[in-house]
Amino acid sequence: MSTDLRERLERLATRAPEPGETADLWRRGRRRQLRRTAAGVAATLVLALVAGVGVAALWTRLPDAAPTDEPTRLVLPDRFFTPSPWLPGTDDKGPIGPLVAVIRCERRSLWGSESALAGISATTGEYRFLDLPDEAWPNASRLREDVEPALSPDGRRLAYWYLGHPSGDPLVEEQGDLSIVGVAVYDTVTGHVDRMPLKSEHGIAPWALVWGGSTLFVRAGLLTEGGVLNDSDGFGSNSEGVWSWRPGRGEPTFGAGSLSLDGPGSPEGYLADSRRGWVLIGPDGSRTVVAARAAISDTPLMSPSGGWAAGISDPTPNIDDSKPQPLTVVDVGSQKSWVVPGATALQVVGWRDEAHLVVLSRTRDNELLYDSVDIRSGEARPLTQRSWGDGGSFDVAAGLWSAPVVEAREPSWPWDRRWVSGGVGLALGIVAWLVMMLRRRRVGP
Amino acid sequence: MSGREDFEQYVAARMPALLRTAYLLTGDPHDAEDLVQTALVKAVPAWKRIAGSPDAYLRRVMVNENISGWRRRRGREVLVGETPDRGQADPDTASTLALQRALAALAPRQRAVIVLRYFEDLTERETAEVLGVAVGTVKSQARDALARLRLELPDLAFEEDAGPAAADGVTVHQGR
Repeated sequence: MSTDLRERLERLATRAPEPGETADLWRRGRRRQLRRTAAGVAATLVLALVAGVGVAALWTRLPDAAPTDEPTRLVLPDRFFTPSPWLPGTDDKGPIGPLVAVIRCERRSLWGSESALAGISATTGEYRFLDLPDEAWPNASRLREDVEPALSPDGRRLAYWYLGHPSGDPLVEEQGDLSIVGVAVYDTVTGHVDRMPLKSEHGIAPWALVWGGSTLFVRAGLLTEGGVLNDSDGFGSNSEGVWSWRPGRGEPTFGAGSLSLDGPGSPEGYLADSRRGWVLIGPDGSRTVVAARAAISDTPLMSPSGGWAAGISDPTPNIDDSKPQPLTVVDVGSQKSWVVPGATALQVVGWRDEAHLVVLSRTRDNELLYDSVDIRSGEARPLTQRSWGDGGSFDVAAGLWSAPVVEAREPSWPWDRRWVSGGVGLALGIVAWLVMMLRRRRVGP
Repeated sequence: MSGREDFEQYVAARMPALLRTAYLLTGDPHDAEDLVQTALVKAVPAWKRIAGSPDAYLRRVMVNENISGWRRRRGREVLVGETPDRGQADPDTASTLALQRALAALAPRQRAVIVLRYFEDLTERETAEVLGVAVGTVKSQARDALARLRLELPDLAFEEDAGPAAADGVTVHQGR
């Protein structure tokens, strides 16, 4: 008996089976190759898609340092920009801090675009979209045409109408079960949202939001019926009136007058147009005549102390000629008024201090130019400007017109996230393909 | 000559040798056939690259497939291809079948080391390349496998010579 391992292996190997049919092997190999290639391509595409979307999503979700309550210097930029539609939002990066202004502009995502509100930081000049929970978007809706948010004078709070389920059948313009049910106030520093629901069976008709100091005035009506609002239908509301609310400091109270809210007052009041002229209405409904209707044709704005009111005095108020008009200032105490010498403007937008108005003086190319105007001499100095963009609403915190002016920093212009996704996906796809090719080139299974 | 013709000529020429190696690796004729067919099917997409020396590629596929297959089959009953008929078997047949059982008792990587080193006559480095392991691993696997075979097959003689296993002190006859 041989004890040689080699010989024994040789002998054992002779028991191997005889070769069988082999004609099919080549075809089976090709089929397998096709299957693996198809699977590899599919896996690569899926990987690229997932990675691209993931990276694009993460791209804007890295939180920045959270703003704090620490007192910081609030400034007014010398220029406002229309930001990139691909800016991150507060859902991605957290609250942005006190705002010097909000601007409505286009916001794009991987899945489409929409009109959105961007906030501009009063401390850093950064731009960021504001993701306001349940915000009722302004659109062509007749129910929502007056739903623009309102920025508080200190830039700390933003009031907006929010959507929800009323107790009964909602009044909607399209099928759905949400209607406007109240007002919310977003804290730009903490991100906290205070809500003021207005109890209604069918939702509410939003008329106006106005800040008077730290008090928010809300004018709304309760809708009288639910269902789907057709183009030819009107809608009714009752219990119309004005609520006054100091967010975080108690419940809203109803009864602060019933006139339309035409403009902010100071302090703690709002301006309305009445038969007696422009009146300042306090939270308790008290009325103080500010200026005669004949003196100021457009809603006046009150100085920080409440001692002056100023506005446009258009000799032909019923003709919309869009030309700069003279400016008139009224001493609220004595009701004496004067026309600011040599000064004209398209609109009075605020007060820089007790002696200077801020006006939208003119437009140039695609820019809106804001000047500071001395109410005695009429001397005008450029203050800031903004690009007209797509004409979306623009609201500067009233109290920050008095802030120091600084050179504006152009907001970052993030790349189109679709290109980022595509680029990252393509890069990863190429890497995956190279890995596959290298693996296949390796002599091995 | 097209790739397909080249491949089919290679298969026709080398199929018996491949089946023998596969049989030693698996210990079962059906598994051996499956293993060779799987290896050849896998070789088709790579044929252009490996046409110069397909043996190395096929050995590697067969060894790795057999190890993977053993992991999948682990726990299943191990079938011995043929049972010796003690009454009629000649001594050579009996010793061959004893080797088959002893090989079946080895771990698949140890079995592969034995087959590659003592049947295919590969060096330790070539064996390491086929298995995708370090040379040291081949040495230790060979040492353990031979010790196990010595235990199972007391009549298997190990003589000092310059054989493939000389590097780790275990030698066998070079009597092919």
